[in-house]
Amino acid sequence: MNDPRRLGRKGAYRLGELKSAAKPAPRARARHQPSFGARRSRGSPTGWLAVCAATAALLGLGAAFGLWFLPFVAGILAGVAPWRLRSALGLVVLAVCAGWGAALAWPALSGAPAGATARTVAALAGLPPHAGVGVAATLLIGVLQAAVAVWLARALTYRLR
Amino acid sequence: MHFGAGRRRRSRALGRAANIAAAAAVSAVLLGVLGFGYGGIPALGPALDPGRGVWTSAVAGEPIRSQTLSLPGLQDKVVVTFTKNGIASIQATTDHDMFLALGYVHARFRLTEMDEERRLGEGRLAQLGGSSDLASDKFELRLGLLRTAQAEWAQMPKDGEAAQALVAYAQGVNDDIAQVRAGGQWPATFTLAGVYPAPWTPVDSLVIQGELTQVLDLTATPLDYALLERSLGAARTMAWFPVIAANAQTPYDPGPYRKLPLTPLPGETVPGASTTARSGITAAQAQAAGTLLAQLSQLPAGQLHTYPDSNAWAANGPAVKGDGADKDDRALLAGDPHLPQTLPSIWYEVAMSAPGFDVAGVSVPGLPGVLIGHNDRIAWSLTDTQNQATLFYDERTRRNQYYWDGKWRPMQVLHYDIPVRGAATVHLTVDLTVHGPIMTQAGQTTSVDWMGNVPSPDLQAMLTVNQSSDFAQFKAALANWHAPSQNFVYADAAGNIGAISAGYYPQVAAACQPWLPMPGTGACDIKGVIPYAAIPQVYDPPSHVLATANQRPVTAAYPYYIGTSADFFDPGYRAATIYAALASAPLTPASFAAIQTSLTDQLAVRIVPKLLSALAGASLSYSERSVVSLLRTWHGTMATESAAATVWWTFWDDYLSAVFQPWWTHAKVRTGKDRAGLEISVGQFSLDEDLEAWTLHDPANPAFSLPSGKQRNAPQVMRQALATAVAHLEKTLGGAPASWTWGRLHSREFPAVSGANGLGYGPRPAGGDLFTPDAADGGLTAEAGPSWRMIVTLSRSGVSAEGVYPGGQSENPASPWYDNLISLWWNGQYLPVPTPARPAGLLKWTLTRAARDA
Repeated sequence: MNDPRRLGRKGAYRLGELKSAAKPAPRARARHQPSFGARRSRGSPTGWLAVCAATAALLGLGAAFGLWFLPFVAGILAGVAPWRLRSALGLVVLAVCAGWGAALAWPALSGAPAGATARTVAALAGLPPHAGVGVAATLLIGVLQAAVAVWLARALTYRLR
Repeated sequence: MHFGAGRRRRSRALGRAANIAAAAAVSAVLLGVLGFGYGGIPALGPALDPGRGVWTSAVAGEPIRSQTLSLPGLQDKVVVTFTKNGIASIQATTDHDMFLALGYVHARFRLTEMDEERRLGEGRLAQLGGSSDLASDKFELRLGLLRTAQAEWAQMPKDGEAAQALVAYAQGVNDDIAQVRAGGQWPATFTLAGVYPAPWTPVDSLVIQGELTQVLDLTATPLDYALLERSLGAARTMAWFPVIAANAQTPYDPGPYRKLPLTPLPGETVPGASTTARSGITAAQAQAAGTLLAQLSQLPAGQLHTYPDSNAWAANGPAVKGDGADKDDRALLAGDPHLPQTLPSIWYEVAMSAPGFDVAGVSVPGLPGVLIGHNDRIAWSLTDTQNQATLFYDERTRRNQYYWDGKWRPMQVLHYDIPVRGAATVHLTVDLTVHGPIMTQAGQTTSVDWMGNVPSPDLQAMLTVNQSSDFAQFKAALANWHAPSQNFVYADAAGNIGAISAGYYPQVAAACQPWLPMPGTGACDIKGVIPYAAIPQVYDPPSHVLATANQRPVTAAYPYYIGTSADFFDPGYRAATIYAALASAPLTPASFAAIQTSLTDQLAVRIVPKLLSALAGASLSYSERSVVSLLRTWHGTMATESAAATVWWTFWDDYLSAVFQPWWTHAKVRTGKDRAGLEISVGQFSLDEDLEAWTLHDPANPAFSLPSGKQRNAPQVMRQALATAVAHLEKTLGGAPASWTWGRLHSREFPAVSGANGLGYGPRPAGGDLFTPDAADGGLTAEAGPSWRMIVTLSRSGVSAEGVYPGGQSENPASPWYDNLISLWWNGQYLPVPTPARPAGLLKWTLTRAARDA
């Protein structure tokens, strides 16, 4: 007898012998998620990319109007959105680099000496006089705003998530 | 257990609250700093905005293209053309439009430079640069360039040519500022600082004129004399820093001279002639001198007269090679002003024309007119006269009064507010006596009376020079030129040449010693100035050549005091080399160019034979013998690849030290107070001259001996100095003496005016030194020298010029015209100076009246 506890139960007998019951299917393993938190959707990669592209476009356009603080606004929105931290942060960092990067590159397409200007900016700011340093310093301003904004948004919406 | 869960909940709640607070605080600080700046940190958010911030300055760096521009204030159409190198020609139909267009072009290419220059002179640099510039602002507001400019503008007839030019010029600058503001395309410096230029005014231009006076004539030498006399004693100080230099020189005006009554200063009351006997420099005077020198050391580089500046010469008649009908009526003129070599340059090259006006050369951004250049009849260039026009006075004071002319008098008190970027506004009080501003009250209250505080109608004089056609008009135009004192070298199309040292020559009672701080009681006040008819001048000299290179322009027989050997005049080595070269007639533009780029050190030419003679028969090391063989075949050329040049320079420096340092140490001379004025080094001109003269003619001079009494003579000290030099070079450069090329030790650098690393040029190995016509001033990394080279050929058939300056027409480092002229200058090449009648440019701006003016 394989399992005396099954005696007398339906389906326990087959052709005169006692058969063991089929093993119950294992439960799907729950994702690691705190029970007190709201369930967060990762969303589809395509959707994430679309939002990122739209954000980049808005940031680039905003820069043309002098809206230098838009990365902060974008960071707040990304922080509030039902994404994981990594996704939210990645989105805004990528959007700032793409949007502001495009805004920086735009004058070069019309022949303006963007590289030499970047070098000048770096030198006047007291940084090493290299074009890459000027560009990096500018992007850093945007990325820093966005990252701090994500932090702030997530801190404020902690109970809602 | 229940109690523990509660604690955890409270702890988590606290953690969340702390997280929110920290995120909010960091966000607020970040946005606040980015949006408004903090302290010296500018508002980087708007400054680095990729679309509207500093990046928009790239537009101004784009190559210029032909276009039509509409400018408010124009009366008619103006055409501006540019050569491929950026040299501008302006053609206008009225003087007003010509000056307006010049203002616009200057601002278009040099707005940052112009704004920084006026801020410097007006004590507003800290508003742009922050508290690091506060010392400079305080000094300038005390000194009073702004007060002088305001007085000049108040005195200027508003319907006169100069005032009209200033107003039109300011309109042109403001037209550019308005365009830049509308497009948001500010030069990077403004956007980064978040401080933008105010509208330009005529007073701003006059402040920049005053700055030229400061750069060329404000000197601290009387303070140095005070410290020297305090330590070395009066007799030794005047023996080693004499009024008339110890060496032989070649003044351009050899005399005879006229002794005429002094011209009184307008509106000045001069007390009686009684003179207080001097009783030596007191400790309080020395303290005041030291404090004031410390103040001066905080000025931005180049704002105090440091180096003698410039060469200019002319030749005519048989000295000039000519052919054809005007063979005997030709003249040649050359000029290369030596100034701090910066990017952008102090100069902007331009040709301008309007009816009755046809001039080309170099202008100073901020000022209307051409300062050095030519018109269709004459040409001129300038060198600094170097005469003493900075006098310091020891004031007797009590509370807010000073004692002058037998009475206590109230000081005039002025108040200034100095805005400081990123900090609170600073208040400054300036006290004025009859002599001028009180510069320090440490130890001894000291005021300064200098030529920059004398209103000078320079602009009217320069505009008249621009339009002169002969020497009589030229000389008459300069009669009212006061500051800075300049040697104006002249040549005309009729084949005449001349020179006149126009300027301000203050005279005090004979018993007074103007090279020291003088009593402020009135006894040593300025009695008047040398009359114009008696200042140094020459016209068509019989030798058919004349040259000024900041050497004393007159001989010791000149009947007036014009300065001492220390600082005020060049030792004359450049002048001697130039005169020697001018003796090899017939002269051509090519031979003039060879002189401008000459690397001959005349002091070396004179001394090296004496050195070799001193070494003859001496016991020498292998390296010393190698050095001697290098020097034997050397002719004093400070070429980059010359090893003998390195040996010579190092030897001369060590020779000066070997002779004078024991005395300095013995007397405890406080060289730290002003290294440029007190330290023993090459370029301490009085000592260079003394040592040259003693080595050549007085080898047993007591100065060669030691303060201890040990006897030495020139040959002994020379041998010792050469051994020291060779040991020093072996240690620093190593290898064989033949490898000690001058370029390994000596370089040139053109730093950016902004001070930003990476926006300058060099340092790059270079030839020359401060005694060569192609001068390299500023030590082993030279930062001053020929800032413009020009050669003009004049004959009845016309006037033509070629010129070049180390830099470029645009101040924008991203522009192709930022430093495009440096390679030409470096290689000793020239470009034709375009004239308005022959504009060489292909690029054209058509400037038209703005619609609202039409």
